[in-house]
Amino acid sequence: MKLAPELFAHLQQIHRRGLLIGGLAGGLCAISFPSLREQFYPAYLAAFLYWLGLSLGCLAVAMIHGMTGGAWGRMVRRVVEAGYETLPLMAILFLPLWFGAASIYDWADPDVVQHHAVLARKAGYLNLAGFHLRAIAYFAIWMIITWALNRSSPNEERDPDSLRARRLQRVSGLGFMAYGFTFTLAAVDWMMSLEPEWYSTMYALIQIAGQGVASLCFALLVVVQLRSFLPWSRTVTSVRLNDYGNLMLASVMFWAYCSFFQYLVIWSGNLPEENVWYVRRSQAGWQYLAISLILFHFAVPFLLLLSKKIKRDARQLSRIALLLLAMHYVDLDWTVVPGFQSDESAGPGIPFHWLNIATWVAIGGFWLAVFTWRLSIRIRLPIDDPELREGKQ
Amino acid sequence: MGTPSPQEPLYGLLAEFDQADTVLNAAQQAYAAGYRQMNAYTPFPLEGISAALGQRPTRLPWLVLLGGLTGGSAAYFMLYYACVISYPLNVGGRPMHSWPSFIPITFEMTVLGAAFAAFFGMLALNGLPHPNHPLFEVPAFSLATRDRFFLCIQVRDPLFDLEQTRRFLEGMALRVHEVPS
Repeated sequence: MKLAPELFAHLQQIHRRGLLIGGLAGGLCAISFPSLREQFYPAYLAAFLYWLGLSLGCLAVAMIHGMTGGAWGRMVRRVVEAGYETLPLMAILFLPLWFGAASIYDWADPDVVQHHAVLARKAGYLNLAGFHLRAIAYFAIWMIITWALNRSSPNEERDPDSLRARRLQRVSGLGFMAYGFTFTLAAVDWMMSLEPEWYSTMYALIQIAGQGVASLCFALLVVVQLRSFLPWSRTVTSVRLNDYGNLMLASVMFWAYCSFFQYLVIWSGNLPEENVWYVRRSQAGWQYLAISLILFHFAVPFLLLLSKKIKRDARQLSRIALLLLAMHYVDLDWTVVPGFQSDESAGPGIPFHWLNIATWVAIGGFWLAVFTWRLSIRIRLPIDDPELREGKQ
Repeated sequence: MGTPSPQEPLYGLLAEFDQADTVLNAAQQAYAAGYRQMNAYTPFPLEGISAALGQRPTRLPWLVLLGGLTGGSAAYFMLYYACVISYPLNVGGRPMHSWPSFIPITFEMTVLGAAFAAFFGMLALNGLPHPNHPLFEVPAFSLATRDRFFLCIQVRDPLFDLEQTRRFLEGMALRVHEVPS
């Protein structure tokens, strides 16, 4: 298969622009950091979680495809592989949180813990040394999964038999369990512990579902953008898009299911230590974000994705993907940022600062630069594993 | 299949193929030649055959949507009637019309309504159950579940002409069978 030089030129261009824009926005964030610490951390945490979610979501999609196979993977396999290869970058970009943890999380402040019976009891888990050690373990495990997946990724050139496909299946199954376990803890450490008295066992699963939605949408946008080039001009067909649209529909429903059931359980119990999370998120303007999530992260995409006509149309499908990617940020903002506000200080209106955009653009620029670099390498490997060959029939 | 007797009324002519793309091609050519009352029989779902035969997309999705909406709204109003009108009960001081607790039942009934609509709608639109079919008279037709592909042009097609249609099909197929009605 001969790949067009224009494709590589295109990727190169995105790579350079990503570095430039990421560098500019990152510089802006760095300059304003000393004077805007208060605004920087919530913005940075939301932006970091957004792009980390795409990396991990790509990892999850690659592993789901590794376990189940299916011709839809022919379309996005290399894209999600390049997506999860951004994890080392995200490990570096974790450093501001590593050093900032003491000013982000209440439990990291010894004065607060001393006078707080609940936090004193939780200090065995919620302490800075544990936070740092666990972060190292999460990234190490994720990168080991990345390495093992790359080794068993379908590659026609190296071994066309099904040995590699079977190994990919095993690695994907074990890797998925490891991902589910480590990300559950990471979601507790980095997100849920912003409100250290509150807990929900559904929380991490909602985040995993959100990552799945976002990364499926991201991979779709990439292949639709590049569908005039090989190999996508051959793999992006209306039938595959229909299958892929069904996956998007299922992921949107899964996200809504998890989100609603956390709400239903807490609403039914109506205990003050549990419902405080939703009380905080349904006042001072946050309720508008909640309603927009119900409408645009569930109702509208759900109804549109029911239509076969829309699912088979690359342009309409990518518009839905764009909407969901935007709503993923709203979801994270609504989940994370209210945790920074103490109940007394919560003024009217949602705190929106230009740093929200700057941090998102800064991390995103670097993320896309690494992504396009890895993609231009990974698409050179031909995919034609036996599973996919059957799918052609 | 024996010598055709001119008196015996026919259901149609059945062309036999041994490859998926040849039956697809034959269907396209038959449609281009103007035939409309025809159908294809294949051992596995063949992509594009519906379009080649000029079949309109099924209305089943709309039936399923309707079934889902009916089930969901019926469930919601049942709950509303029970909790607000017929037997109002104060549960933990919550409002009578507590929609979050109605959602699970509404969801389940939506799925049930949609599933019933899909199953019975599929049977109705396909004209099933249909215990016998003229095609079963052709012994070779049993291969349609194994490794043969068939295209049947029916007598009721206005363009149907025993000799011409037979010649047209013989140009493409392995064999052409007559199907008694």
